[in-house]
Amino acid sequence: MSGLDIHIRDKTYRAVDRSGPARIFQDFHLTAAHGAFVCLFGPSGCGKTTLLNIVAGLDLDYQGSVRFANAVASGDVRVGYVFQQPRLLPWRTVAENVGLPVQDDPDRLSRVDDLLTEVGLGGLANAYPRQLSAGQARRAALARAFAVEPDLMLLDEPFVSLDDPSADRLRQTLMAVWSQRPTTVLFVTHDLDEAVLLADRVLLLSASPVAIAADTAIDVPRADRRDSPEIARHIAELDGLRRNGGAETS
Amino acid sequence: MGSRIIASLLSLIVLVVIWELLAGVIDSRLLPPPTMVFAAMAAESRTGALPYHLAITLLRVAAAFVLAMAIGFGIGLAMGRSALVDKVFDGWLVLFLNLPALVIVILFYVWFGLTEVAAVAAVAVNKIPTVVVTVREGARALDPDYLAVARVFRFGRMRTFRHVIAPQLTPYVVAAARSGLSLIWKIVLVVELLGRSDGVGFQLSLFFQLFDVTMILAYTLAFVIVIQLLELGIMQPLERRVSRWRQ
Repeated sequence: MSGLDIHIRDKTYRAVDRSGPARIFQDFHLTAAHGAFVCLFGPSGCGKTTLLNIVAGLDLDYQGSVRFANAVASGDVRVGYVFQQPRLLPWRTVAENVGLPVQDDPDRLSRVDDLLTEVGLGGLANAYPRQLSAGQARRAALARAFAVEPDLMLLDEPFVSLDDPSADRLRQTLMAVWSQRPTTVLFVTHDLDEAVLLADRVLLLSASPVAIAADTAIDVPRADRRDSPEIARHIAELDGLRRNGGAETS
Repeated sequence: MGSRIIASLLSLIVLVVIWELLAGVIDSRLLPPPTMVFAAMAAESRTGALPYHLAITLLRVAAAFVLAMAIGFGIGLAMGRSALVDKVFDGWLVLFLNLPALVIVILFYVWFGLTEVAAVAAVAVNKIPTVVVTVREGARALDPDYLAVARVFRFGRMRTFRHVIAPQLTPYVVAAARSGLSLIWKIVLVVELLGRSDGVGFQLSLFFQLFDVTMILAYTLAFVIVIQLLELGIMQPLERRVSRWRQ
């Protein structure tokens, strides 16, 4: 129901300084199968967030199309978006933040309850975002995105700036919630280990204009991925490609 | 909080004591002691004159306040969200901000007669520009990140306004309301003095012609006390309530 077909013929940022207009995408093509977990991995600033914003319908200033298989119009597709910052409304409680996107839903309350429990925020339903830790805020953002029962889930470096153990726990939470509520996922990251650990498919992006430098399927079952030699091989291979492709910026 | 109230009460009591002593020394009709002023206030309350005129004036304050806030909010939001609207009306705004209150009052009375509508409208028009400026500031400061959340999760117009836009504008609206109240009640007195036959401002003009300083002070004090009670009893609790999430 939600196979995804993205084609961006042209996306150009008008000149912000003397460097002139910057063409971010030129004839870029990406498809994702229904239910696939696709990681987009590439140097920071290469246009990954722009890509997600285009898919989410936030950025309309581009030439091309974003199509969902079997959907009449992209308006029918429910999108969940976990932004790089949690972007919880600070003046609404955690439960209100998670429930707002589905306010018209009659069984909203129980759904919010379930989700908060699943992401480990069961006791914090009535807290305000200001009272949450960074990790808790990201959990709430995750719950909000899943609350809409998305056909497509977009995650933009959702675990960035967390310490390793917290990020790891959040990854496990994400996979647990996702396995209960399977949906097509585009997951942007600049952390190669994370990409290979989570994804069915890792796309290595190179910059200006954005192109798919490598498209690697990860077939190892998720439970066996830690300490798997095949995973290590994938990481080494992608890392080499990244260096050779000059995709590394800093 | 409690100690602040006690401190300001104490300082007010000191002022009253100084006033009483000074009045005793000067011993003139032109500076009545506070005891006399409070006695006059009580007497006017018993006859019903003071409550009557006070109520009339407060009604005018309320009407002008609601009008100015509603119109100022609409214009401010439009100017803050649309660069075009802002460009077109910014010049007007500067003009109205700099029009003396008295000029607006006189013109409204000349154009629309010495009527209740003209009086209330003149006060509102005095206040609208400052509401516009404050609300426009708030509308410009709306965080595009939250608006993006509303769009992705399809909040729609009503939910976006109620949960995303309004909470961000609230501090600005509260600021406009507080400064609004303090400006409006002063202009209402002018309007009443120039063109109404009731209200505190009218009474003040009457006692001015009689050189009755005691009554002038009695009405003034009563009015100031009521306005301060509104500020303490309504505006400040309201402000605390809407900023609860910040704690």
